[in-house]
Amino acid sequence: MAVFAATTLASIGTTSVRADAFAAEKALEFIEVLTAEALGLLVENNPDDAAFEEQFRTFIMKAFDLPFVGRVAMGTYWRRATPLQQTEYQVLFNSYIVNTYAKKFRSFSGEILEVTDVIEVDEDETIIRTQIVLPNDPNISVDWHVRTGPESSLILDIIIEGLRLTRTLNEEFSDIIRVGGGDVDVLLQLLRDRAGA
Amino acid sequence: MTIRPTHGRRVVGLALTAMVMAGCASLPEDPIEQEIFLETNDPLEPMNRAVFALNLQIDKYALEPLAKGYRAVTPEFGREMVSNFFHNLKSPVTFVNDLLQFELQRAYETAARFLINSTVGLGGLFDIAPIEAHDEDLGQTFASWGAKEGVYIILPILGPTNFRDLTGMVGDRLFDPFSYMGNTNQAQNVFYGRTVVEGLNDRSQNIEMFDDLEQNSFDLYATFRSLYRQQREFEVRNGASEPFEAFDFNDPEGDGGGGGLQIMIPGPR
Repeated sequence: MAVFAATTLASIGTTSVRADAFAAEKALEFIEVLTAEALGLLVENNPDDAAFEEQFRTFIMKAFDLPFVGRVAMGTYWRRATPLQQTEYQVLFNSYIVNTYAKKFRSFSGEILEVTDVIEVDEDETIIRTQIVLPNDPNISVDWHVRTGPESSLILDIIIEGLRLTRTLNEEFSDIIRVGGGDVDVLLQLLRDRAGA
Repeated sequence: MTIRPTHGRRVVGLALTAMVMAGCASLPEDPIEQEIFLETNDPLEPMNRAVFALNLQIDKYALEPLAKGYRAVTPEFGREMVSNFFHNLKSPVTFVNDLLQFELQRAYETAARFLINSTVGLGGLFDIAPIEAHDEDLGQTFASWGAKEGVYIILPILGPTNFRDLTGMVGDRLFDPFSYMGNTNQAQNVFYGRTVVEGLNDRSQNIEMFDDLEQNSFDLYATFRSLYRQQREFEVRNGASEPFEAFDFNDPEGDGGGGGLQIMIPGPR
């Protein structure tokens, strides 16, 4: 036991570097597995809308850290929201993301995603830079901001051609609340209406 | 001869000033509102929103139907030729701005593309130069010199811009060969004609994207502003990624001093 502790201490200088590389490797593997799974979902091409949405929901929940994305999206007003509002918001936010992207996702036809770079941001966050290769148009750059925990990885953010998902959501959501006089419920009502529609 | 503002001009000037003043929002007292106010860089928001609403109406009743019609009657290769032609015409402006940004390699690329496409590419109708295209404008040049974007502005019909890019837009006309075609009515018509066709062509390329935004966003104005600013930042960086930063997990929403996104550790490029 003492020997173990000593070697751990001695290697502390290098472990962090190794941990980085490990997280990056995991993150890359994670994105590759997700891409394959996404392709599988598309190929399966379930004609039943509701069933597809359910599959897509499971996929999104597994791929994204939605509670985190949702908090970044609401921004500073999160702290003004009551615990009840926060809980409701998280549920509504999840279905907002699933509803918005399910349709978009279906319009993809399995374009090729090429990994162009892997950037370690810190010991557990990695950027996987990819390009969607289109036959007749310029490629589209997509960067995946991934956090790798001890168990699994999750996507925190996507940047498409310089447009950041969290920033776009945040600048829209916080403005809605601000214009609504700082009332978080104004945003919640919009999300409720959308979920009900 | 000195030109004095006539009485009429002065009245128009006063009216404009009054409009801008009326359209100005003052710094909110609430700390969160204040943070968002400073971050969105949009003190003219009340006026901008009004112009944006007007633009949406113009788009709905004129621009979009025209763009759809244009797309219906013009085959895809025809529209591509129109795009190529106008893009090629912008080359002189891009070239001068490449130089002003001391981007000699990119200036060379712009010049080579222009020469090849204007000749072998039949006056720019075909984009056959084996060099990747890029655009530059004076707004981006100012940014590369360190100028901040200035307040966000929505122009009637022309759409979103900011003080820096608007100044650049005016300046870019100096680098545009079309501006030197004389001051005759005919030259003016060519200039405006080009602007209209170009706008229509651009709009026809964005029909689905625009519909999608209109359908999905709760506040189209705020979404547009966010996307415009991010896109301009991306263009200023010449498509390079921003320096990636880790999220602050103890404070995902950002504190009073920070933005919507958190800054902790600057990541390697």
